Amino acid sequence: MPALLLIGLLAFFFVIIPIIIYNGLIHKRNMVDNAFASIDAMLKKRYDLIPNLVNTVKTYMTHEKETLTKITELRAKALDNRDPDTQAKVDQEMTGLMRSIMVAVENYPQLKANENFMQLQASLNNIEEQIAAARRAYNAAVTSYNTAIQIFPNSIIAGMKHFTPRELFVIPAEERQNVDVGNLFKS
Amino acid sequence: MGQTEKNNPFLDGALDPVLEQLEQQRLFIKRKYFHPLTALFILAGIFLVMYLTRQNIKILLAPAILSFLGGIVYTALAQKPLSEYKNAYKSEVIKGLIDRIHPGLSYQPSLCIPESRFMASGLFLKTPDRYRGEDMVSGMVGKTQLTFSEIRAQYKTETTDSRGNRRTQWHDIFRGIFIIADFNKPFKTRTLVLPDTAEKIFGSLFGNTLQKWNKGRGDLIKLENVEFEKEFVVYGQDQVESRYILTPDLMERILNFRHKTGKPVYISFLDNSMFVALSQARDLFEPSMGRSLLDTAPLESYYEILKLVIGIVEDFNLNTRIWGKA
Repeated sequence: MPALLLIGLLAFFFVIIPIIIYNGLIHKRNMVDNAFASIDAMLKKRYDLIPNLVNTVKTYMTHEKETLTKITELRAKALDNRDPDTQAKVDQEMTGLMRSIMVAVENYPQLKANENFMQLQASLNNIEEQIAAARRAYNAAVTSYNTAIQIFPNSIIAGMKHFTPRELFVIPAEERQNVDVGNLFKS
Repeated sequence: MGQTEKNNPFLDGALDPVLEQLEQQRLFIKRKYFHPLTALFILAGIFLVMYLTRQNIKILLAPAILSFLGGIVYTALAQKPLSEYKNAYKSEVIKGLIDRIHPGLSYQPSLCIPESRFMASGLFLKTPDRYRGEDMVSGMVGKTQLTFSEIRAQYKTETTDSRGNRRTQWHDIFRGIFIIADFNKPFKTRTLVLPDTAEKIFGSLFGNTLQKWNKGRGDLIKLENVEFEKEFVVYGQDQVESRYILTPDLMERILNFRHKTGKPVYISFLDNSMFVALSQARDLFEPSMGRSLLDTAPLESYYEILKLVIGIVEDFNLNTRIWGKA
């Protein structure tokens, strides 16, 4: 009888608990992948709007030619290479450039009044908000996953099964402050 | 401060003529109905006590009954002038306060937000057995449609004691002001922001586990604002969309609002609208018969509450429409 109990206990500690932990880790890793997929989808949406934006803007914006070319190039780069690292890097650069374009718009009253542009601006604002949200969701999933693989006893299973920590998406400094986007666009 | 002082109706005396006139009405009702009916009930009491202590004088029962009946008649007679007085108070004084804060809002003292809308918010899971409300205000504040009213939703429990007496007790599900505002971004799923009781009682580790069990509300959304997480628990159907709604900026704004009210705040985002439930422990926007209207302390507190509620549009930045929603 004690032997049976011992076997039961051993099975519990060395088979059942590891399985539960392993499944938990897989679950968290999938959440991370899933969260990344949603950032990717949002970024794709933004890239779809860019040709439109560039076309609308370029006739008005004479001093920002360089920035516009750079945006177009970045878009091509992002669409060619869809691995997470490139996406993260391009996204960071792109966010900065888009911001500078939107600020520069202030110098072109005609452009600001253009209905086509106003619609694009609203869509872009919306997508920027969604991208920011997706980044935060991704970071929350990564933090939860990284914590899960680092705490004991999960770390043993994680080490055996090669779960490696993931990098957080860098959130641009402007976004960390509570910028009032509304003020940015007020005339 | 300049803004508040300029619009404060208690400093410039704009409401004084109305209040003075209503005060006359209140005193008249008090003199004509309340004093006689109080006197009659007291008289009935005296006769009754005399009758009970000296049982041989049966004749004392008659005046007791008579004065009691007289009291009832006066109570009935007082109803009409009393409700006229209340209506005048609401349509002139309360409406005056609302107009001061934001002209153009409509005020319907006897209406309230329907139960179906209240339940649709998803903030309260229990179906009320009794649902009442009044003082509905609605209209556009800038680009935002705003509606709010007082609501009291209750459920009942019935207990039977050892002697077989049934007792019904009423418990509040919610009592306070319920607000519906058009939200400034388009979205599809539901997000709930509730006061965090679990985390406060059990600490973050155990509290979080409890929060996760609460599956009917949706997935637990962990947000990065530590102070916000301490105060609220967030449930949503879509991790990304909940964060799209609850930007760092809006989280700060909700926290500030929470500190400003000093009361529990429940918020849900659904159907492109924002539902806010603000608990209050008392009936609002009612005149008190026993207190002079020229003492404006209660009115000033109503004014502050109205300002707070209508100010939601500014506080939550709902008029900023740059995300493609008209």
